[in-house]
Parts: sequence; structure tokens; C-alpha cells
Amino acid sequence: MEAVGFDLAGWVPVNVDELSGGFEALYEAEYRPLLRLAFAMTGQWAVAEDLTQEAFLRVHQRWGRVSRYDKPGAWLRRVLVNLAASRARRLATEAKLLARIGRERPPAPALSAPDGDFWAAVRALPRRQAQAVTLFYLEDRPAAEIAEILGCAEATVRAHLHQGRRTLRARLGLDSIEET
Amino acid sequence: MTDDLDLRAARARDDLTRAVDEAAPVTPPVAGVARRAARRRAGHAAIAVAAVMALGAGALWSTTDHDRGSNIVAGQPETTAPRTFAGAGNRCFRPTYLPAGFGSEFRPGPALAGGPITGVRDEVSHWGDALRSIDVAVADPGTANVPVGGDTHFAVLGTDATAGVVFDSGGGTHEWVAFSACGRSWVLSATHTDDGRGTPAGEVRLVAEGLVPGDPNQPEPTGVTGILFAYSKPDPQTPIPKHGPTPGAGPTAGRAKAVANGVEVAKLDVPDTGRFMMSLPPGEYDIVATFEADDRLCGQQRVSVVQGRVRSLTFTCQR
Repeated sequence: MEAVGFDLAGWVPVNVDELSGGFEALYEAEYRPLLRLAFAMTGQWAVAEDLTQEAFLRVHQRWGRVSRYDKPGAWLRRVLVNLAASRARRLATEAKLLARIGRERPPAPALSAPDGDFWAAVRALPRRQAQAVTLFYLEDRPAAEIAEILGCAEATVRAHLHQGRRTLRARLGLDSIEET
Repeated sequence: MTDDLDLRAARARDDLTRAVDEAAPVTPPVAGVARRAARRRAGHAAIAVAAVMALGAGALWSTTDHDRGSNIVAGQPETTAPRTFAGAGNRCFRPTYLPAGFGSEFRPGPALAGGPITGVRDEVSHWGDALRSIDVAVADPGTANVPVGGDTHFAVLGTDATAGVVFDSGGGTHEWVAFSACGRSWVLSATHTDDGRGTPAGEVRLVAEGLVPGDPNQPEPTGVTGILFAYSKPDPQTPIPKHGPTPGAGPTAGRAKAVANGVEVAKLDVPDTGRFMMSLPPGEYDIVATFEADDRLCGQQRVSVVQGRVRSLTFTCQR
């Protein structure tokens, strides 16, 4: 198998070998979870749809290779996470340019989910913390799987989760509980 | 250990899942991915928009022939036969109505006022004035809806080949005739704000309703368009204002030339607006921009020009 930069062992969500329809089956199974992930990470519906489509497009373009992966869902999520990060960087550069010429970017449309404050607080975390916390809370993934998606050590993910959760508690005004 | 944060997160996850289910109750057909892939393979490269979005609010067609004899009266619906825009940039359609103050030139590339959606489109062109614009972009069916929130609203007229829907932030969703031309689906968008800046949603609707088929025999423009943007190195003793333009920064005059295989194939003077348009046959080029009297190098970018496409470039020049 061609290396994808992270260990796929132990991955559960979508096993393409169990899917009879190949890409279509992956699309059917993962479109909505991925859309939710993109929505949580960006807070903008149109952008979430576009990033999701783009992630599937990347998979589609490499389907001959990706279809041989044990867990293409992990690869799909890594693509999405990276796309969202690239977009955030691009927006930051754009904001600097706009500021330089004295203009402002229109404010982003608000998240329509009733508890958008929570996801807004997550997005306000440092990038890696936000990614880890989103995967942890939205997809209920253990640290090991998050580490596979993000391409980092499990211990690093645990650190990100610890710091991210502590910051979230403070920002959301929740009681602080000593974590083990 | 379950605590308040975990409970709050679980509620947020359920809310978000419900919101997604309500917004997209059905998974869109997988064919959309295949269509998008096919377009990508066909070489319809996405336009890099960030810098141009920031800078491209003014006229981009500084070297084209502007048809000043238009019978379109900006701000009023057209009363006589619609004209063909000479060098207007899109042979698929043309407007019969434009808001007051809008130039009739159809300009390649995104503009500031329509920026938010342009970053996700393959092709973008616009009409506009110095501050506002209406963007026209190739759209993927299923991605034409834009949420609305805050003080800024997006009037988006989105259609696909089968059904047309107007997403109008001011009045909700309206039925609309399909807006599909040259075998593509298009989206019109503009921004408007409560304080009167931007284009009112009603005006955007008028533009959309006034679109008529273009001349398919008109050649699509091919080449590059760009802007030269100059700034001064900040003086550490001079504070940079938090709001308002940075002193000494803005579009600048200069020169631009296209070089292919080491041979200069085109050259033009860039006016004070900083914008230029260069028609080039398909191929690989190095676009070299210089500025100020001594022709100081502003930048050099390699571009691949594709038939029927106008690539947008931004050159940032330090004084």
C-alpha cells in the first residue's frame, strides 16, 4: 500500500472493502458526517458544502489509489481538515490585505445551529486544538483515531484536548474540573 | 468523566446534526463530484482570489475598448434593443439592466463587494463600480445557497439546470427561472448592507431578470488581467492607523510584459488604476511587472493561459 503518512491500523468508521459500490458507497456513507465536520469547523454552510465537495473530489481524483486503503474515511477527513486549515490561512492573508487598503471583509454569516456558541468557541481555539476538539466532540473519536487523522502522536492529541477543553471551559463559563 | 463541558458539547453536537439534517435532508447526487472532477480535468483552474478580491474593485479592462455608445442606462431598465458588449468577457449572456453607477464593462475576475462566494467558484466575472459589484460565477448545483447573518446580507440568485431559486437575504427564497447558459449553471451574487453600502438585493434581482442570451460567436477573451499594488515600507516611527487606508499604499502605474520562451511577446503601459488586461494566445508565459520611472521590478509570475480563460494576477510592489 502506498504510504499516506499515517498509520491506518485500528481505524473503524468506513472500510471500503465492506462497501460494494466503491466511491459511490463511500460518498453515501461519509457525505453527511463530513458535511457536519466541515460545518463545525467553518461555521458557514456554503463553505462547508464546498469543502466537503472538494474533499470528495480529491478522493475521486485518486480513487484508484485511495480505494486500496483500508480506511479511506480517515484520508477523507485529513483532506477536509487540511482544506479547512488552508482556507483559514487564506482568509487571514486576505484580512491583512483588506486592512492594508482600509477595507473590511463582510462578517461571516452566523452559524445557524442553536448552540453555535459552542462551535464558535471551538473554532476560536488554536488550529490544532480546534481540530482535535472538533473530532473528539463531534465524531466521538478516541485520541488514537484523532492522531491518525491529524498525523501526529496520540500524546500530542491528548495534550491538545486537555488544553482545548480547559480553554473552552473558561470561555464558556463552565465549572473547572480537574482532569485526569 | 462527564462534566458540564461534555454535556454542553453533546448538546451542541445534537444541535449541529439537526441543523445539517434540516439544511440538507438529502445527500446530493454523487454526479456532482464527477462533474466537478471533469471540469477540473478540463483545465478550468480555480482563480486565486484572495488578493484580487481585496484589490479588484475598480476597472480591470484598462486596455480594452470600452463601448461608450451603450444603450443601457445604468440605473434604468433598458428601453431599446440590448447591445452586445464589445470585449465584455462572456459570450453566454449579457445584461439589459445595471444599477446606477455600474460600468457596463463585464470584467474578468472577482471583485471586493462580491467576494465571499468567489473563493469557491471556478470562474468569476463581475460588473461594478468603485465600491460595489455583482459577481457572476459558474456554480455547482447544490452549492448555490448562502446563509445569511449579521449586518451583511448576500443576495444570491442561484440556479441549476433544472430549477431556479432566488436566495434573497431580504425576502427569503423566491422562485426564479433557470439561469443556465452555454451549458453551464451560473450564480449571481452581490453584497448589500443595512447601512446602504453595497448593492441592494432588489437591484441584483433586476440584473438577473434582465439577463439575455449572449452571442455564442463572440470569442471568449483569453489572456491575463492583473493589478499592480504598491506600498511603502512602514516607517517604524509612524503608527499605522487601525482603520482607514495605509498611507502610501494603493494601485500604481507601471509596465507589464509577457515573455514566452525567453522572447517578449507583449508589452503595455499600466495606468494609474494599476489594472491591466493582456490578450494572449494559449501557452506558458512569464508575466513581468515593473513600476515607477526606473522600471523597478515589481514581480514576475508564471501563468498558463488557457483558451477562453482570463487569469487574474496581483503584483505587490514595495516602494
